[in-house]
This record gives sequence, C-alpha cells and structure tokens, in this order.
Amino acid sequence: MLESATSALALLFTMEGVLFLGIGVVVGLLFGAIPGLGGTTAIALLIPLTYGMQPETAFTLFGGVMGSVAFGGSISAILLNTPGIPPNAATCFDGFPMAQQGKAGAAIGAAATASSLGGLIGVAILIAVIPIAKEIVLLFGPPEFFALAMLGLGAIALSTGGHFLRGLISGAFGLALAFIGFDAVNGGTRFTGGIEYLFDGIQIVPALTGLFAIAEMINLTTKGGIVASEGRADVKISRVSDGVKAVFRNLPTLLRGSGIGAFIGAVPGVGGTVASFIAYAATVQASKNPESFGKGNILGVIAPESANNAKDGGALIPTLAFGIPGSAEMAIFLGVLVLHGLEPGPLMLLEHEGTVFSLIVALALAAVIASLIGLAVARYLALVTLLDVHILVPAVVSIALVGVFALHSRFGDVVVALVFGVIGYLMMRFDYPRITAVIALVLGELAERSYHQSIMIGDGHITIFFTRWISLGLLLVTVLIVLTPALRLYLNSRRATGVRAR
Amino acid sequence: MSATRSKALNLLPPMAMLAFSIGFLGWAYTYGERAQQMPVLVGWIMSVLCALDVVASSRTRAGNLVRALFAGTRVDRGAVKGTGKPIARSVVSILWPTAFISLVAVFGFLPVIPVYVFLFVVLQGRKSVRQGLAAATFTTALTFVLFKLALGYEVYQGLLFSG
Amino acid sequence: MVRKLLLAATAAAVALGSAGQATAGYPEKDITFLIPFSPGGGMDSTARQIASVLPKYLPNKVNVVPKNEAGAGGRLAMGQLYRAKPDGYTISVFNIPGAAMPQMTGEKVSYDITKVVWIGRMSTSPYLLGVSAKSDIKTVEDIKKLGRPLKIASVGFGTTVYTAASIAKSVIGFKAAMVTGYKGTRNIILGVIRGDADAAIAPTQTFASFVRSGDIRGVVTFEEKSSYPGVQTIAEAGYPQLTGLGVERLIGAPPGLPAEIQKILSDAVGKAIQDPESVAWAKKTKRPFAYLPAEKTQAAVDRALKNLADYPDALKEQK
Repeated sequence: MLESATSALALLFTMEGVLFLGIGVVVGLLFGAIPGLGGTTAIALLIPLTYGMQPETAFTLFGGVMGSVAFGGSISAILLNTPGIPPNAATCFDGFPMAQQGKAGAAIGAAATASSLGGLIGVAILIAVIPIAKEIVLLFGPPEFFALAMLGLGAIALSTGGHFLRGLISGAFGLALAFIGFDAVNGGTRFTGGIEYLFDGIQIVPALTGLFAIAEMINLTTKGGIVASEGRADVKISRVSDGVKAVFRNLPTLLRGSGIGAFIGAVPGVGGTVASFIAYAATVQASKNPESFGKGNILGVIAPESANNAKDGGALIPTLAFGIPGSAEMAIFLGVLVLHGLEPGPLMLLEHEGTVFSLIVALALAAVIASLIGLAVARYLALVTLLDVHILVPAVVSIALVGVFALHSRFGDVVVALVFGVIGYLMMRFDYPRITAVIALVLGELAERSYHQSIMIGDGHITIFFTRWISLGLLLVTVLIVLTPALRLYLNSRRATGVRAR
Repeated sequence: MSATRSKALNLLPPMAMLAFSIGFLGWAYTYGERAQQMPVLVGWIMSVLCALDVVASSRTRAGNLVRALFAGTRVDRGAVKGTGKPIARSVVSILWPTAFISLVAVFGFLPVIPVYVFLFVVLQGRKSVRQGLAAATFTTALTFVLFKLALGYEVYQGLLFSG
Repeated sequence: MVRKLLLAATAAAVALGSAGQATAGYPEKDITFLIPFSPGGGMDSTARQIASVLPKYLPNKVNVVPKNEAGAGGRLAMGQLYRAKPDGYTISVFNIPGAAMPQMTGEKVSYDITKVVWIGRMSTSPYLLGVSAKSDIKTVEDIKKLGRPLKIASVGFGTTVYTAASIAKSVIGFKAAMVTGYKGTRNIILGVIRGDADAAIAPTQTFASFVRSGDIRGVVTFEEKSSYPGVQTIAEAGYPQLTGLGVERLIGAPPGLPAEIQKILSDAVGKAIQDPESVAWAKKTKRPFAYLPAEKTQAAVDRALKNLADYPDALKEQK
C-alpha cells in the first residue's frame, strides 16, 4: 500500500502529473463555480480527451476535478446565494448573509480552508478504513439506507429557519417531485402525464440550478443594485485570513463536518448534498446559540464545506470495496476504468492498486491546491458582489443554462431549470424554504426504494427496521432530531406567552 | 395597498399549495398497490400541512394558534414581505429568462446569448450600449471558449439549425 | 478550385440522378449512435468501441457519434429512436428481452419493438445463478428442496434480469420471492453478499470478479459450456431448454429503414467487430463480441419474444 502511494506521488511529481492535476483543478474550480455545471459534467466532457492516456494520468486529471469542484461551488454559494453544485446548497444559509454584510472574503477563506482540510480528513478516513472497507459496506443494507434517508429528512425539521410549517411543506413538495418518473421497485412510470422527458424523473442538477441560480437571478432583476446590499457605500472585502483563522479556532466543527461527510458520502446515490446538509444541521444543533445561524455565522460555512470535500473519501469506500459507485463522479470513474480495460469489482484494490492510489493522492492534493488558488484569488472574486446585477444576471443565466444542457444534451433539462426558477422565486417570495425541497427531492427516491426493498427482505414485516441495530440506532437519532425543535418551539412559545402575559 | 388585497395575497400561496397536494393525492391513488403507498402517504401529510398553513395565514384566532404551535411565535413571519415590490416588476423579471429560453429553443444558444445579454443590459439595466456590447461579447466568448474550443462540445443548436 | 467545382458538379449530378431514392450515396453525414445507458458502464464502452471502429468500414468514412440517452430503463432512447427518420442516420443499442418488456406487460410506451429494423447483434451474455459463498445452496436441486421461496435480488420489474429470473423459476419449478429496486447488476450481487437475498441471476461477466474474490459461488450457468470450473451448466442440471438464457445486445434502426441501408450498416458492424482493434479490446476487457447479421438478429428477437409469450409468469408482476 505504502509502495503504491509513493509511486503515485512519484507519478504526480512528473511534469505530466503536475500538468494534468493542474488542469483538473482549474476545470474543477470553474465547473464548480458556474451553477448548472459540476463535477459530473466536467468528467463526462473530459472522458473523450483521456482515451489515449495512461489510466493513472487520466485519474490524476479526474482527481483534480473531483477534489476542487466543491470548493469552486462554494464561491458562488457565498457570493451569489447560488450553490455551484448541489452539495453547496447548505453553504448558502450563512455564506450569503456574510457576503451581504461585506464579509465575503472571510467566508471564502473559511470555505477554502475547511474544504482542503475536510478533503484531507476524508482521504485519511478512507485510508484508515480500507482494510475493513468490505465489512463496513456490508453493514449497510436497504433498512439502514432507509433509516439514513429518514435521518436526512428529519434534519429538515432543524433547518427551516423560523418557517417551520412551510419548511415541512417544502419537504413534502420535494418528496412529491421525487416520485415523478420511473419506479425502480415496481417498474413502470408515475406522475409523468405521458411526457416522455419526465420518465427519467426530475433531475437534481437542473432542478437545483432553477431553484437557486435562476430564482436568485429573477430576484436580483426585481431588486436591482448590487449583491452586497447591506454594506452599500463602502463594502469592505474583509480579510480572507479571518476566515482561515476561524476554521482553526473551530476544530470540533471541522472534524464533525468531515466525519459526517465521509460517512454519508459512502451512501450510494445520496452523497454530498445530504452530507453537507446534515453536517450543517448537526452544527446548528450542537451550537449554544442556534438563532445566530442563517444570519452569517461562519460555522455555517465551515461545517458543510468540510463535509462536502470529505465526502469524496467516503464515496471511494464502496467504490473500492465492491466496485459500487458511491457518487455520480465515482460511477464515471468506474466507467473510465472499464474503458481502459481495468475491471471494477471487489478485487480492484488488489489488482489495480497503483491506479487507485493515483486517484486518492490526486484527490487529496487537488483539495489543497484548489484552496490555495482560491485563497489567492478570493479577494478579487468577492468583487463580484459589487458588480451591478444588471450585468451579472444575463451572464449567469446564459452560462448556467448552457451548463444544464451540457450534462445530458437534453433541452428538457433547460426547460426544467426555467420552471424551477419560477417556482424557486415564488418560494423565496412567500417564505417556503427551498433547501428542504432539494433535500427531499434527493432523498425521496432512496427512501421509497429502500423501504420497499427492506419489506421484501424482511418477508413483508416492518420489524426489520427495528431488529437491526444500526437501522434502529439511526431511527432513534431521527426521532430525537425531530423532537428537538418541537421542544425548543414549545419552550419559546411558553416564553412568548409569558412575556405577553406580563 | 389595501388591507383586503394584502390579506387575499397572503392566502393565495397556501391555497395554491393545498390545491397542488390534493391533486397529487388524487393522482397517487391511480397507481398499483405498492406503487401508490409512499406517494399517498406524502400526499396526505402535505395536504394536512397545507391546510394548517391556510389556517395559519388567515388572520383569525385559529390562525394565531397554529402559528404559535408551529413557529413558536404569534408574529406572522410568513406575511408576504415581497408585496412591497410591484407585481409587474416580478413578472418582467420572470419574462426575461422565459423569453431567452423560448428563443434558444428555436435558434440555439450561441446566436441568442449575445442578443439576450445585450438587450438585458441596455433595456432592463439602462446601461450604455458600450457596456451592453462588452457584457454580450464576454459571455458569448466564455461559452464558446469553454465548451466548444476547450471541450469540443456542441451546445444546443436550436430547432432551426440542428437539421 | 477547378477540381472542387468539378467534384461539386459530380456530387450534384449524383444527387439529381438518385432523386427519389435517398439511399444512394449513403452515408453522407455523421451517424448518431444512441446508447440507452449512462457513460461509463460495460454496455457503454462496448458500444463506444464499435462506434470508434465503424467509420473504417462505412462508405465515405463518416463519423459515428455515440450519444448517451440513459434513463427510465431505456425507454427514452427507444422512444427517440422510434421517432427518428428511417434514413440510417440514427441507430441505437437495444437490450433484449428487457427492451421488449414494457410493451409486453401492457405499459403504454411510444415505440413498438416488433417494428424495429435490426442491424445486427454486438454480443450476448448468458446468465449465471450465483449465491453467497456462505450459502448452503450448492445445486439446482438444493433450490428445489429449500422448503421456502428462494429470495432473488433483482433490478426492477420489466428488466432483462427480472424476466430471466421469472423464466428460470417457471421452467425449473421452484418458488421465488423477488427483492427488486437495486440499481444495476453489480448492486444485486452486493445484495446477495450482504444477505439481502439468497441468489442473483446476472450476466456471467459481471459475476466474474466476485467469484474470483471468493464472495460468490456459482450454482448453475446458462452458458452452453461452463466458463467457471466446477459450475454445472443448466443443461447438465436437466433443463436444456434454458440454455442461452441471458441478454442479447443488439443494434436497431427506426421502422421503415430501406433494406440497402440496413445491409450497409449490418456489414459494417460485422467487420468492425472483427477489426483487430476490437478483437484486442474484447480480449483485454473480457467482453467478447458475438456478431449476428441482420436476418439472424431478427430471428433471435423473434425467439426471445416467443420465449416471453411461452412463460407468461415472467410478464406478471409479483404481488
């Protein structure tokens, strides 16, 4: 193992390795930052360019993309309230308020530091568990996935930012949308009205691009002015180093976020979006003053950003143990293995150790390099918030929609982005939280599928969820999470009534 | 704005969501036994939540009670804060991307992007023609370089030009 | 310049001469090759391999551009192919019998598989019935004597994998309970290792590395000749009629494709598969090609559809 790691490092320090890692990082940052584009699109578009390459070189390139894309996406989340890729959605909560207050520099600094450290921790966790990766993957079957989905949905209750009822409604709305399309358990399609495009369901990237990017652009058009509206006269791009220091002062938040990221990242098909969301919710939960979140608390940037870079390490666990992709990017990575004549599967780690380690090392290095680049340019990027929205809006709308189209080359995706843009704008105006809808949309399919699978595995009995200790434990945590805000609300309302009575 | 109008506006979104959930629920019942289980459950939960929201958005005593239960406060936080802006402005803001997409559908991205960016900057943003041209050139060039030159990817060409 | 003009004039003359019969001069532009899977899978790479060699053997050496149109179990791609002009510029990969299932089970779909014009078969992969290495099930007889339904992990109802399991169950005569909803064959194998279900029926190639790693044991293979030492074939187990049960990977074109174009494409695919580059690729990736020309592909499809009709159980959703 050590030998493979060293040879992977040696490869990376050749001219070629450095070159491709660098290209990967730049592409990743760019594709991450532009809403509608993302790691999957970047890798899919890059694949044809790698046909002639050695697999190790190709993976250096892809590692560069995967390691940097999440940080790229955090930049637009912070500056424009628009997550560059789905996992950055939770970063908007506090990142954007910081930008509005003129603290974009600190937010980007924190995101960069949390991303690179999170990425390294994720890789460290991966390397630590590689010897028992198979056992870990086997511990999680459909009942556990169902319990995890419930945990994610339960976390919605924590993150409704004062709009509890409407937060839940948005969540239910997201679930309803998740049922549209092909039904993996029963075959056949549902809620499509015969429209063939919908057979494949509502895709997360166009939906998210609409709900956040397009909606925010519609909102900015209505509002006018500049993004950093609260600082107006003399917006100071506060020192980036403040953000860097904040991460080191809040190591527990960083570690919690990274741990959650690596853990949830290992769940196939759920990945970063849910990981960073749960990391955020857990941080709010652990905080002594949860009211400060959503108003520019820097911890609200550190938690999701550490999670969504640690998730790549986690996503590699099932990928390496059994050749089961832990994320969309990993699915493409496995495809590239096949293209280069390598066979994914339980023996991958034994048979292609060198290739695998070139990816892992590239992933770790990319996270750090991306952050260094990010820190260097953060000051200038933050100036975007001072740009007149009337120049910003058409540029973002055009490029985001081109990106949405590029993922599958389907014009229907562009239409979905527009429709969700309008829905998102209405949700914004009428205080229906958008992120709960996104989380539910991501989790809905997993929840339904693993529920039915569990019942089939358990011979038709629901008891299967309670007789397996991991699933039972996760469900208990979920119940706790759901009850906490209810309790807090109850106490608040007592206090409110008390004040009124006096 | 009159009080009655603002009241009606307050009720409109929850009513629309309620209608959506009831429609969804009805639709869910048309599927097979196992296929309808989850959608029906979600449909019911959403309908109940939306009904509560309708009550909460009404400025009645029942509404106050629901708000107190679910928001921990009797202050109507859900009150339509956006109504300060004229609706016409929102509609115009929505029409811009809609018009853009409609034109893209016919002519494809590359010819429409410069026109859209230029018109938006000049008409909506009331900026100078020079700024409009600069923004249009920059955006189009970025799209072209990123997708076509760097990645060799053909962006959507529109019904007219895709043969 | 003069040369260019002459060429153009000749081309125009040819075009005029062939007015009314659009087939002469085919192909004149790039051919779109639909792949109903996401980029990266085994099917995708097989199809891309063919697409990359195919131009060598086509008149005019036009490009063959692969286009991934994944989603909804292939329905999107099939609908798109079916609506395309039958001019030979749109062709698609099909998985049989999976592609036929939606319409055979009465689902409303926008295409009719029986009207598709077949170009040829790329490959075929017989299935293997595998169990966890820890399982007590060693032979087909063990399954019949199980005393409870055999739990089979599968992708959704209406897929090739599900259908094959239903057919095997009806013919061999054992009770089965399906655990559906897994995403892809690799995941159903993982489900078996994890203990979600007793067995999985999936392509022999997909099983290969799991058998080698000692996680899975083959019980019976539907191949003619067993590629796993010690695993009996279904014929040896006493059910020769099930030999060849598996997936056929075909290339098809929209209904109404002129026979001349069908022949051009079919011949080219046949040669592309025998191209040294393809042969080397197949060897390296252990994904052998098994070409069948157009008529024989049609016969294979007819046989597969008849099989489905013969085992109505396979078309019924389990409750």
